[in-house]
Amino acid sequence: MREIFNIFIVSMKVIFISSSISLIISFFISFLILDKKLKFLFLFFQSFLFIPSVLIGLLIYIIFKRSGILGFLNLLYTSKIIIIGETILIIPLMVLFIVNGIKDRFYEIKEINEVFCGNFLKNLLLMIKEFRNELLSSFFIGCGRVMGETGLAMIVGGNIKGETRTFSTSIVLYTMRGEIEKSIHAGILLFAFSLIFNLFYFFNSKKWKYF
Amino acid sequence: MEIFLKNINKSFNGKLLFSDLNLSIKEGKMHILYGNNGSGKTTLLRILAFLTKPDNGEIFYKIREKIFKYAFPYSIQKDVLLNVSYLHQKNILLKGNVDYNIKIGKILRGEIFDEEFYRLIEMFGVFDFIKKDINEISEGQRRIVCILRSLSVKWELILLDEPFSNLDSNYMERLKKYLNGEKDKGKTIIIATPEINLVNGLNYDKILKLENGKITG
Repeated sequence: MREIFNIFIVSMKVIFISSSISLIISFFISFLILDKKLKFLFLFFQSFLFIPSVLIGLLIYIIFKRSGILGFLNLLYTSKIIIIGETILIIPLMVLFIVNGIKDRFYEIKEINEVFCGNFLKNLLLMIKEFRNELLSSFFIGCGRVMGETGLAMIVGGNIKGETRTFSTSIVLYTMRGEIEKSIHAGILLFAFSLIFNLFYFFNSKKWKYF
Repeated sequence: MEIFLKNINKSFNGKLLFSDLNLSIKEGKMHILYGNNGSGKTTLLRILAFLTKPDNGEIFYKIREKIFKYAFPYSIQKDVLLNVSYLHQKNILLKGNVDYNIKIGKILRGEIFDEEFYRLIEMFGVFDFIKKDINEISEGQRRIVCILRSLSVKWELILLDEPFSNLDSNYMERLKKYLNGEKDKGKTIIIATPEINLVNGLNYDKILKLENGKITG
């Protein structure tokens, strides 16, 4: 039970911190893409959407391993490095989601700001207020993606008990060890949380109104 | 505010909208910009409001004896824009209630909510639905919210793109009365309309007919 609780704490920490950081970065990138009409930047992020997470994990491992460029930071096999990895992993997904979600109304809101001489900060605040549902939806999408991610967390986190073990990595370990009962428990919890995130996303995006 | 347009050219997707358009609009005058759909009324108003750049040509804005030149590379003249108000052809409203949508213009400009503002709101009788969500009101009410947002800010020149669309006769009369009053105060007004009958009751000075990229009338 104690082990499951630790897994829950590590998983939630990774999910919420990486999704929050990604949301802030993705919003600014999306704002830049739409404001400056940087189609190539959009295509750049789109091309990163289908890169397997293990490849990003491998790249981060090479950079942060003891002899790597950033090896002196000693971040490998900590939850911080999983957060960094997951943040990088979900930025393209969030950017695509935000850009597609707000692009139709973006220029209208921008024009309202221009007509009434609002400055950059006011424009930014106006956008955040106007697109809060879309931003929150992309946050839940990011949470869902991080929750189900295994390869990257295994490579850079090392699946250390109480430190870097998440729901998905614990299932891998328990299954390999033959501890199917534990594996099923973790699996049920993982499914329950992914369902919760899905419900948050569903009701926030107001799609239920069309049913 | 006075405006002088000199040799303005604008084309869209290879189609020429204006060629060497010249126009002079005097201070305290009300002009009706009339033309068929696609004649370029909206584009001309957008150019005057710095929302669309012309291909070439120059525009001069004269505000209290000071002249501002809008020429290539067509960067926004904030000193001019602070004296201009613009009403979009489409109702662009923000998430929230009616009150927020009317006030947002003044909020963005950093203007205070003076007595004049509340008098304007009262004149149009929107207090009945001011706390309603923007999605709960009719299309005509949405139009009047957009109009009030544009009228409530400080302006010397107002550019109204089809302001009477979806308005009932009650709102239309109130708007015309208000615009006539503002004209008498020396403010400059340009109204775009595809229907000339809609401007009956306005004390306009001139009808500018936009046809084949030229202004006649």
